[in-house]
Amino acid sequence: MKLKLTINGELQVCEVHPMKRLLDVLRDDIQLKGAKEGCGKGECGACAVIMNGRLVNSCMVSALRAYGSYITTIEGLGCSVAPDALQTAFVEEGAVQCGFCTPGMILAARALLERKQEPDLEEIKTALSGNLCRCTGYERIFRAINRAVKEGYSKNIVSSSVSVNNECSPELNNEEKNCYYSPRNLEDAVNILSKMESKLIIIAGGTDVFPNAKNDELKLKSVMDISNIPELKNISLEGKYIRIGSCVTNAELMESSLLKGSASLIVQAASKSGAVAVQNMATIGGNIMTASGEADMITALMALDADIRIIGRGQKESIIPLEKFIDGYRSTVLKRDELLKEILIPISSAKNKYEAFYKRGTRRALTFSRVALACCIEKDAEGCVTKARFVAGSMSPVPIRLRDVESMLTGRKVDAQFAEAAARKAGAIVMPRKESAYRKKVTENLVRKFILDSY
Amino acid sequence: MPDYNIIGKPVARLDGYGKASGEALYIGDMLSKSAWVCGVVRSESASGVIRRIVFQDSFNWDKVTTITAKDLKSVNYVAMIRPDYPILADEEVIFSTQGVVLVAAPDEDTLKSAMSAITVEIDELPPVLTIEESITKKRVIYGSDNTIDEFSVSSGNTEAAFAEADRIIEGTYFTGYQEHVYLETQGMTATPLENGGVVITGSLQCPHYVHNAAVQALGLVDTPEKVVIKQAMTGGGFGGKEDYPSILGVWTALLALKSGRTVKFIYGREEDMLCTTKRHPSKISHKTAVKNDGTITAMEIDILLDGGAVTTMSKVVLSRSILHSTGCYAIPNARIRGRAMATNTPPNGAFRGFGAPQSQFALERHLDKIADELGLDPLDVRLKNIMRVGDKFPYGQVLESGASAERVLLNVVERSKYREKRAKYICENMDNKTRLRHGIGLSVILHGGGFTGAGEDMMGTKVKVEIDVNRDIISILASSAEMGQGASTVLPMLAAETFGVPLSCVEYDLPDTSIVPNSGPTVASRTTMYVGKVLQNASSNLISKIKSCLEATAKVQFRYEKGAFINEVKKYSIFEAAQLYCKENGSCSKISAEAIYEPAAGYSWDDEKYEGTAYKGYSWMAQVVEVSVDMDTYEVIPEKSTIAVELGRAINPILASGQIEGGTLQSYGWANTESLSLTNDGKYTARHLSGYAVPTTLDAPSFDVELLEEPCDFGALGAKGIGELPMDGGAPAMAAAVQNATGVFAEKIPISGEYLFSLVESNMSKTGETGAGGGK
Repeated sequence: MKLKLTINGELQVCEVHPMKRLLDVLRDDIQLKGAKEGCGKGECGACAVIMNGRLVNSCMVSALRAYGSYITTIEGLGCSVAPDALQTAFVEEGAVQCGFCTPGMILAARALLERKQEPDLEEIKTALSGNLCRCTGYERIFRAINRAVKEGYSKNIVSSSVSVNNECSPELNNEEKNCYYSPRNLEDAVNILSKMESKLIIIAGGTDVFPNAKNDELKLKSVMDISNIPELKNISLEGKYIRIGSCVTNAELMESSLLKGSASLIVQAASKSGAVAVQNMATIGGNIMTASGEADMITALMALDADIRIIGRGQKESIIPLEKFIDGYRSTVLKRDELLKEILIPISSAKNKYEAFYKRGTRRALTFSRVALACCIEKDAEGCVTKARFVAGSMSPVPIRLRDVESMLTGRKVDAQFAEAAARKAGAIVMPRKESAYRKKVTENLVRKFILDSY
Repeated sequence: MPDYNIIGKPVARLDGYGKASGEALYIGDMLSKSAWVCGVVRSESASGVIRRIVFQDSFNWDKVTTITAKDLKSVNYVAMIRPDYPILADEEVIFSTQGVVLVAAPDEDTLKSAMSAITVEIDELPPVLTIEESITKKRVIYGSDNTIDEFSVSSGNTEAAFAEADRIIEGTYFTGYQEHVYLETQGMTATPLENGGVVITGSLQCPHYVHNAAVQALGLVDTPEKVVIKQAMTGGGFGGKEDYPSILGVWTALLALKSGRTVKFIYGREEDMLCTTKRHPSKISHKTAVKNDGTITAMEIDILLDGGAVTTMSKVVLSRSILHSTGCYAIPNARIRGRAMATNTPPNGAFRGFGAPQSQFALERHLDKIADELGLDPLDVRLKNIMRVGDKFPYGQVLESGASAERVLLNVVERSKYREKRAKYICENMDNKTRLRHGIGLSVILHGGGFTGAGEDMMGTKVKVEIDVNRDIISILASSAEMGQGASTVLPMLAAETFGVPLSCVEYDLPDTSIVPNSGPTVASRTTMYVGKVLQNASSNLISKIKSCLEATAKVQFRYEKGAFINEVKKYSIFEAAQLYCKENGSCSKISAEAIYEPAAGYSWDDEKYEGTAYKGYSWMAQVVEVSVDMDTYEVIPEKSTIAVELGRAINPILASGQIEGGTLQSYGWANTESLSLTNDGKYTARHLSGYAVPTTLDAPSFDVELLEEPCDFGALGAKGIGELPMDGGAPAMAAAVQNATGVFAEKIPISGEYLFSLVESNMSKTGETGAGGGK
């Protein structure tokens, strides 16, 4: 394809394969070597660049996706003889050692400062939590960022955040046109699916597809990128439901005031997923489509009684409960010619509502859940539980509702003793294959904690 | 402190702007597009006999270059300490992922097709996968009894001390694998030369190690100059690029010579994690005679390291482990035995700390145990036994000066308010109800700088300095690699200080073995201390050389001051004087001088008796770490780390603190989140970074580091080693803090959620409570 994109303010045009990774485009075609490959799976941040104002791991972005985008790489900040204030702060504060993580790390800091002029330490840590550094212990990186902030760096940023014109389609050659699709509206996407004879790989955020793609798999199969379909990118109200388009990213979920007010469980789950660069790309629909026990968004959505709206041939729509949508490990009821259009979450009118999403991974960011638990309780004015939802993730092929716990609690006033009984019940239900006793106990503890906290 | 111009100043690292701007080129950034790509067909079995290697006829083998053990024309070993690491498996395989067939191909697709057209048929044997299996000689897989190396030390009369002891306290401690996770994976490129030699360029710590291995593997021992090793900018090493690049270097060189082309071999993360060296897992048992007041009268220590299938660095890792096993304490009677055992697992290798983190983890945990059993504060047990000037190590060395253990320990105790906080947390955690607990723990450790024993004397470190009179630049020629630790800043600082010139007048390029003398490998925390010292001498030699010439020509005396030769009437800058020198010496454009490390008189190490001066300078570090522990999820988070280090001289305080902070976090990772084990067929369980959790920003504490100085005569301007020091103390301090928070005693790291849970559970069943308070 003919790839056109703006890098560090300059329009670049190059001929590349549509599934070539942005990282390779930058390094091989544009000869910008600042972005490094540390893992190729979005697990280290060494390849991070800023795309359309957001930090992304360039190892998980295709050329097709990057078409028409605005990219800032480390080379766009300053060169060694004329560094910008952030680069200078990194060098002078000792935030650079081996230097391999440095370009990605500086860009992660830059992306933060574009959005938040004076972040506090926690915000800095969170913004950098997807960028591994093995040399510094991070202390000096925090100091460098604080110094740049004090020097007014944030105020001088000319934001790379621009509104991107999604309408112009990538320029594919004739052969590519039969294999790679990047529809700009939903109708086209459905039509493409309808006429396909073999299975299409559908990419939304790419954060699951790219790490799992073996060798050149993506270059050998047909692919549809659905990340540029406006109808799939909205969060809105529809009667008594919140409607979330399947291509809404985790970052957009976290920023949604509607969700913060009415479905904070989703916001909590999204903010515990991956780290910034992953959150910026990963979509709620993509997470659901993995249909895996470790998919945190499924765990959260099941606790909210979410439904799935499917769209298929002839733009025909249907609605199915999420729990039924996923019909097994890595399996959904979605047919080959259908698309997951959106997620519908009923808005609760309950006054006393408590929600919490717990995740225990092997560390605090960039981690898969060893235990994930979504909890939701509604109570009436007397403190009686009117509705309870407990969903455990990552301990079974797909997340499971702890129905026995829910029914124990429903219709009752909960006290500490009862919390203990419910907790034990929860621990007894989940059946993790590995580290079983431990994960059962954590489940038990978290259910107890949730009930006592809501009590 | 003497009045230095550059030393001790917070100088920004010289390679910093290149790195922060993305201009710095690592090996993966400078590859030729036309270079062939390499791969290795590896053993899927941990142990077995190779029945045959099948090259399928369907593939056109003319398109690629392949090499098996049968094709090797010289030796079949990668030269390291012992010639026991096969370049390629020949008749038998001894660990999973062992290389069997090397392949080079014009492109990735061809490489993949070729590799999938090769099958290695192996008759499997039951592998020996653990230290225990190795000791019981389930099968003999190495030497006569699976022991790769064994050393022992004894001093005093241990038996008598045990007979007289108030108490005898025993404990066994375990540490797990650790992967380096340098952010840049291993990578190398090799180009054949017309003279039959080869140039190997790559991400590496020890150019001359690779050189030696390649020269032997290629059969070029008589013409070693035909092999040239160049270091590329290196994105982290931590020991992982000490031994392994010799293997990759030999492989790429063989492929380059056979194919007649430039080849490149950059590991993906998966290949790097599955195939490269790890830190030696350990099992260390302590038996200690104590008085009721906490005085230690005797120690028996048994150290077992899992060496993997062959020696690599195990001999010296074991040695350092033994020599650090009594840490900062004066132990009058000691008996220490250490063994590195062979297993059918990928060979373990060098990793920051080099055996000392394992033995000091065990020791510091054991001190905590002694404190527990005697009802004392762990701090008081440490103070009671702390090493002071005049005390003797079990291997006979008397600590003559620089005994700073007590100083650093009291420093952190004071700054962190350790005693108050510990008492407070014990009190808070007593009721067992708090779900989010806080805990505090400490450790004090030492680390010997430079090679162990006679290593530095035998190394004969050589450094050259050179003035280019056309550019007025002083160049340092040494083989020390910059891998992030700051050698390329610290060495120029030392040279600039010695010459009395601005730092901008000094250059230090990445080493190239055809240009630089052998100043030894970049390991063992030796660069600043030892190479720096030889560099100072080389600089002084060059000054003297120019001075003699100047005085002979001018027929008057000069003194050297602040970068110039001065007398009452005349002043020549070093560069003016160098020009005069060159004019006098046939209009040369460069003038240089060398220096070689000179063994200090009166200090020796006897390898046979295993006694003497093991290290000429010990650095000391104490830390207090505060953690929070979530009792619902058994998650441990380090919150605050207060550290004091006595490092002789802080040549560059920013870089020194950076080493301490980074190394400490690496130690916390080892203790906490970095979990790695083996599958039943002897492969590592983690192949991706998501499966091996190094700390992120959210898993790191805030650091407060104080650098204390007590100059050491043997190091450059008094400097001692610091690179590895911080790796030794983080893990035991963290385990102690977890104990303070939860009341459970971890004898093993990593303290994973599952392990902490099991400790809490068994503690509960012992105490019959819903938790346990404090850590008495």
